[in-house]
Amino acid sequence: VSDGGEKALQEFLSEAQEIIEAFNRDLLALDEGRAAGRFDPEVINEAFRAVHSLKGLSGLFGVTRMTNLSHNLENLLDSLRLGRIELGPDTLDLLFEAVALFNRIVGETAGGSGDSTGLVEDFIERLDRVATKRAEVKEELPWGGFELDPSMLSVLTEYEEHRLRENIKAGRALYRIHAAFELMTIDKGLDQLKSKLKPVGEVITYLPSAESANEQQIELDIVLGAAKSIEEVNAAVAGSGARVFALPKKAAAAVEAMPVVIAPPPPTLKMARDDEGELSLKSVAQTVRVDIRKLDHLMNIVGELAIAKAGFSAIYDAVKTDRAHKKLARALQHELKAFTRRLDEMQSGILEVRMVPLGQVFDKLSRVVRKISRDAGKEIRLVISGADTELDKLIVEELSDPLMHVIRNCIDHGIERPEVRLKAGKPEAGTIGISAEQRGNHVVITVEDDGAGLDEKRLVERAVERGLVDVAQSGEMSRRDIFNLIFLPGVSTKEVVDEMSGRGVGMDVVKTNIARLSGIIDVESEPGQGTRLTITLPITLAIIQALVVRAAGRTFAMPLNSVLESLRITRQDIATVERREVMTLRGQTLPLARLERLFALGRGEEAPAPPRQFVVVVGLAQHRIGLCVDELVGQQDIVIKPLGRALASVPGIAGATELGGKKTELVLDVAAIVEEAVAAPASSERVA
Amino acid sequence: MSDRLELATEENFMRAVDAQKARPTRAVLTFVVGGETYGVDILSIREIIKLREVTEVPRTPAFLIGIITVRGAVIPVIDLRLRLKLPATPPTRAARILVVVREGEPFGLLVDAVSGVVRLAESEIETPPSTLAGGEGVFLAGIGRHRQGKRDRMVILLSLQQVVEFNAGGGG
Repeated sequence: VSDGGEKALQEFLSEAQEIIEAFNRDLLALDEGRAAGRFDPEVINEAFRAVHSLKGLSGLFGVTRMTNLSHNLENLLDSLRLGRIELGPDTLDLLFEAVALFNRIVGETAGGSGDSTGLVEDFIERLDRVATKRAEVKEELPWGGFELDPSMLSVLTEYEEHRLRENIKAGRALYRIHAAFELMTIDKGLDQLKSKLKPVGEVITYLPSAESANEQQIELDIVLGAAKSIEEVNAAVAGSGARVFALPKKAAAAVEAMPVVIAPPPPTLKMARDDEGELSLKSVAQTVRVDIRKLDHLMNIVGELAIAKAGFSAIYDAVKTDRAHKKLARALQHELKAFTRRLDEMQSGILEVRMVPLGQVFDKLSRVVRKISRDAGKEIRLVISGADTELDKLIVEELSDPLMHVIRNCIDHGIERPEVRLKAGKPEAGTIGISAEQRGNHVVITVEDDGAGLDEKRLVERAVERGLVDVAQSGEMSRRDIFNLIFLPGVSTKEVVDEMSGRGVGMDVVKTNIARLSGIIDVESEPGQGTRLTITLPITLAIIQALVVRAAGRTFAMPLNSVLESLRITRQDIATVERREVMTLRGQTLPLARLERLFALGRGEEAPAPPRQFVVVVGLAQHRIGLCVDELVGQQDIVIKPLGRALASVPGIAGATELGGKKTELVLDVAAIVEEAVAAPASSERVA
Repeated sequence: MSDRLELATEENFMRAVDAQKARPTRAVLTFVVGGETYGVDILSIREIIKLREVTEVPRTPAFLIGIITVRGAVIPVIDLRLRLKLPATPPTRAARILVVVREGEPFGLLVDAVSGVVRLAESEIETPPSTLAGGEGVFLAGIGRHRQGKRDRMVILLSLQQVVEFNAGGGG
């Protein structure tokens, strides 16, 4: 191959790849639209154009099988465009398969090896079968009751006729827009008018007007399908000189043929002075889009109010002991109660506004599953339940990446190849189940697959290879410990590193991200049966319950959702293993950590640790440790505030909060502390 | 009468404006740290507050003495004495925290006392002498000289950028 030819080939490849990507995006948009019950003809047209370009391009470079494939896809897309066949999940699957096939051909052309001609031929055969299966046109009422001019109908193209039917089916109104254009500038004039109409509806066709025209002008009738009122259409064409007429309907007859238009929820606010006519012009959606930061701000204010409330409570406590003010105290208590109740209502009201259904993430996941499974050559059935479970918007946002990694791991490492599955007596298609449910103040998300399960032996080998555990240690590990090795960096059960994901990096990231959301992740697996990941998350992060403790003369707050229990111990309860402090809790060894050591805090003048201490047992992800503190102050609702960019990277500190006394106190990042305590070998632990 | 009329002509007015433009002045807040007078552009200061209880944050450099909450926002406080490697002394009643904003992030700077505001023309600001460029000189943005009464005064202009730029996680 000459240099010039090589360069041209490269250009072909990159251009083809670009078009294939665009085609894939169109398909995803179609899939999404289909799921939402929408159908955008423009997207089909886009897809059609993409395939058409591929046909031309591949023809130019003599990649015959791509030309054939494109040609036959064109036919299918054309049938879709014209509504001859319906866009069902099977058809979409077929189209997505075409994307994979296109990519394969590009790969083959680039590497110069492999031949998918056979595959393409098979595929084309299947395409033909779908493309010839015409959808039955079932028409209860011609033209949905619209009185349409037969002379107009007779000149519509098949596509225009299809769009006309679709518009009627969608319950839109039809308008005739009459406009006159100068003969010389009709192209420009028509384009301008069309662009004005685009926001309000779909231009179905335009025809020369039956009305007489003068010699210098051409008069056109544009047929527009729109869900808007005639006033709005009129407003859209204002200034163009065009006139708008609503196409009349036969009375009564139409009612049944019309699909049900989803009624907006009844407006809760109704202005007294609005008459019916005016109301119809108002937007029907009674929703407001709000920047989440504004909600954070409101939440901050509620937090400040809660602090003020604590101040009032303190005043009440002071007053109630004073006999002289008994009456006053009772009145204060009464008001305080009412205030507290309202404040709680306000707090939960704002929290509720922040809640969004998890379905937002699940929808994204189903698209990803489609793509990854196709790339991995595995068939996957995705079963989703509990999509209406609600979580704080911020958590939902942060969840999509970790969940994506989890799903990728399921597909890449969990679900076996189809031939392996068949041999094992499982259905060819693997199943991934994602479910969510609320349990108290937590939401539990489970992701399970019916794949091969985790290979315990391999996990341990890998962890030993990487020096993450030593051989002696590995012998004593429980099954649970072994499964949890997948959360360590660099441990993976798959030998081949593929470009999509896998490499074990994913699960490491997942664990970190979940821990950052104050969540807990757990893994269970049964060889040959599958793997189940359970993610437990707090419903919100905005206001959290915290346990306030004192250690080394300082006050700290710990998010209560990471606290398992707290106990009182004495010196004698503490033993050491390899110089690390541990204690026995219900027959199990619990490693202990001290804040003053972790944070190198001086104890000042005070005596060493008091003989009686408290241990707060904290657990995150798979680990549990006991944190020794001097005093348990109590539980409190706190608003965590970030420390700002300059201090964002201080390990072990999640933020700060103002406690009742107006003093700023630190909130511990329990996840980071647990991790550090577990990771740090005894020798490197700093001694204050 | 004639003077006023002369001033009122457009030409004279424009000349006066040009003269003003040619000599733009900067308002600089001056304060004392370790016996030396420092200054920062007054526009970079959001407020000046009295010293209040600071909550120390572990694992941060020593000059970062902790955090305070001002109007609901958590602000790190830097002890300028320690930052400038001057000997530490306990703060007196005159001590203040200057709340400065750098790239949208507020910081508190603990100073011994606030002196006042001086106006400096660009011509009154020296670039820092090269001998001071190394070492502590990294915090220097320039040296301002101005007359106060009959005496020449010197103000060390701080580079806020350098003062607030540090790696919080790395320090002791």
